[in-house]
Amino acid sequence: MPVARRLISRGVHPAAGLAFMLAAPILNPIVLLSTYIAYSGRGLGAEMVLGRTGLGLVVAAAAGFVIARSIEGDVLRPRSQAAHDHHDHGTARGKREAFTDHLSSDFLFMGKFIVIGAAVAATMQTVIPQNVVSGVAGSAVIGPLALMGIAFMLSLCSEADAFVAVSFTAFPLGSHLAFLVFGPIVDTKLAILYGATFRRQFVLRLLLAVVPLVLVGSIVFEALI
Amino acid sequence: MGRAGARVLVLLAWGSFFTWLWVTDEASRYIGSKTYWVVPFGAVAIGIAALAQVFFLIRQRGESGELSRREAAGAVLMLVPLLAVALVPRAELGSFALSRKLRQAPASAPGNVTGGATTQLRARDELGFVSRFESTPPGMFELTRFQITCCVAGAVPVLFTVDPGKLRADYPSETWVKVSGTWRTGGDKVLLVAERIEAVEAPKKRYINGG
Repeated sequence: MPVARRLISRGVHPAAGLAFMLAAPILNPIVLLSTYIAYSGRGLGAEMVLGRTGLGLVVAAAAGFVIARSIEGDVLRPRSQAAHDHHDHGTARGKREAFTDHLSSDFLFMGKFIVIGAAVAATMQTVIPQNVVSGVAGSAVIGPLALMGIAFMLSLCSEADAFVAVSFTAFPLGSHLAFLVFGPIVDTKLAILYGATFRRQFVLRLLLAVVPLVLVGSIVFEALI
Repeated sequence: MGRAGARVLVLLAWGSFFTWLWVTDEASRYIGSKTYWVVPFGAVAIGIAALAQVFFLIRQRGESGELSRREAAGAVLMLVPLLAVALVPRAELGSFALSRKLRQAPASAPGNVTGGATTQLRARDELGFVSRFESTPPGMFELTRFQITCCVAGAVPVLFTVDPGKLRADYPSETWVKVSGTWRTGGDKVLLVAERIEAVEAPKKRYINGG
């Protein structure tokens, strides 16, 4: 998110910056490799990797485009520069100071929202047992939506979520795909970070764009495999 | 305390925390082996940032601006997780966490257990903690261990049923035991017919793939 924020603030088109931000947690070798390893035991490693790659790419690009067009003006929320020291970036000393200052600023800015998000996610994991969704596993529409809800609640890293998804044995693979694509794009922790970084209603617009796309994609995937 | 002072405090606290995780090996309570690199990286990067901020503070001689209420609240918030670790230093996943999560393997049922085929596969010193569910056959228990890949948030319980036969089986839940015996399978159910059960101390690395 800090990278996407800086890209957009330096002139990259918001649609491109948002697509980058949404796709990066899915479209990287580590995540795809872990997805393959998690599902290879069921003989579906390649299929899940292709599904995650394809649907992740489509959703990220489409969501970035839709959201950028729907928000008038700057998509970024103004950020206080009061705590940002000014450095001479032209000198070696200035560059070192700028590096450590950017590192500190991003850590402190993002950190407090991550703490809030982690606390909310942990509370949800404690209060809501995962088996509440077991009863809807067989539904073609409710099943993916239920696992999207679980993904939102768990707030897992995309490098490890495939190993959690594969344990949802009662759910069809289309629902697994919904879990694997939706979670890295928006979860409890990310929703709070988005709210701090982007303008009002960004999260709502993101959900309105992403949920139908992931749902349709997971149903199509289930029909194809 | 000014703005720079608050920054230094938070960075020093987190840098110290990551360093403590690194030198004490306590990271295995929180993260998996694949993400362990975060600990030394965090210790070094945040430590360097903290030291740099100390130099800035000294050079500016405290003239960094007043700390607003919002900034102070943000600084306090950043320290809350460290306070939580300090208050509950030996936190670990157990039966309560197990009750919240979908399990890796389905719970065994009496019909499948008694109708299963005995294999020649031996199990030696399988380690886990005792847990019991409503579906656990009477006289038996589930041997459970959590497997983590990234961190405990994504921990998945891995468990199988132990048939102690005539051995002692009244271990309280969350007792750590080592079990040796023979595997028995029945469809997708897995049962360990125990030949030896020994109560042990909880291992330092409680989770499979712990960091």
